Amino acid sequence: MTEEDDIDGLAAEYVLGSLSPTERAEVEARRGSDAALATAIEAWQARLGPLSEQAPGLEPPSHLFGRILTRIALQSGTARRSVVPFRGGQAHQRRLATLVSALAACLALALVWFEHAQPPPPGNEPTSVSCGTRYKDFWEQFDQQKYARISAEQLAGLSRMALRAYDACEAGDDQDARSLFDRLRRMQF
Amino acid sequence: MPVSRQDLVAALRQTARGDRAAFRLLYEATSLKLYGIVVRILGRRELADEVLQEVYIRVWQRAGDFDASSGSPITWLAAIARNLALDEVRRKTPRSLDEFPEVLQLPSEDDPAAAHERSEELKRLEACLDGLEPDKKELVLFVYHYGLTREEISRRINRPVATVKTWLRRSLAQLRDCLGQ
Repeated sequence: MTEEDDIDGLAAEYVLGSLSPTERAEVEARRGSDAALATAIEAWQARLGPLSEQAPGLEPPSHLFGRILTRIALQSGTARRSVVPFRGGQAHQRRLATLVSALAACLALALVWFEHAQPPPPGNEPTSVSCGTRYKDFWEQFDQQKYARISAEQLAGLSRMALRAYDACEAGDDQDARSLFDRLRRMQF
Repeated sequence: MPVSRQDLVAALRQTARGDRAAFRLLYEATSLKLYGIVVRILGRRELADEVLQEVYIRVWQRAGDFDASSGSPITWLAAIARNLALDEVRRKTPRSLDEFPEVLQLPSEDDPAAAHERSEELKRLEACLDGLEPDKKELVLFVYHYGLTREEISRRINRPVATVKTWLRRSLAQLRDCLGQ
């Protein structure tokens, strides 16, 4: 039986981990377009995966999670739109409320501007770059200094507050945003 | 930290929605296991530190892909850890065989703590592994946990690469037939 014929054997060895670097790279390149190979890999993953339960654990260095969070914060700072809409619960409602009041304020201002034919005040321009930077800066600073000391509940609360600050900033409510960011920075744990 | 399968499923779902507190819980409950996996494959701690970060960043990004109906959370996480560790180790120069222990060090089945953690899937698989000849069972487990290639095993046990390949494929086929999946 040739290598080409024995897709199941190839998938089995891929999951086991015994393929040479070249063969492994070939399988990875091929699995996207070869449905039979992809299915066989999934099946072998299900068969051999439970072996991972056997493996004894090892304590990772304590600073690693802080680094992971920092890298994630950096990513969400640049791609924040993909993260923000999926957060549920109260934070979402608060954000919606902020957005609605901001829209109402904008509408009222627009009417005033229309009547008086004046240029809009600069504070109502979107400030997405600085909002993202402020949000990112907070997490960068926070992760390095305080992360290890706080509980999961405290972290969740902080996370919601940081998003509120970001949203207030995005909505043009600079006063609210500044006060929230200041409170976040001053928090002691 | 003892965390149930259900808790891990919930933590993964919340992580998929961007919940950092759930993500932290997930890390605390699973990093011990995943670090053990990557250190064994990579051999060196400094490499393992880098790979473990990559693992959890991927978990953060792809937690939404986890499907509770197709396996346990720990198996899903371990697969990500093993794949990234294997990809990394294959990019490096060949490892010295001195980096591996003489014998496979796994928790004993008699260890009550280990027995408590074993899932039904693992128990079935272990029963099938017991059906292999002892040296073939050892071979399969060694390759899985240390990520050795056929060539590395061939040098280790001083047998031709083709023989190692035949042993591995036969043993794996026997496992597949025994599991009936």
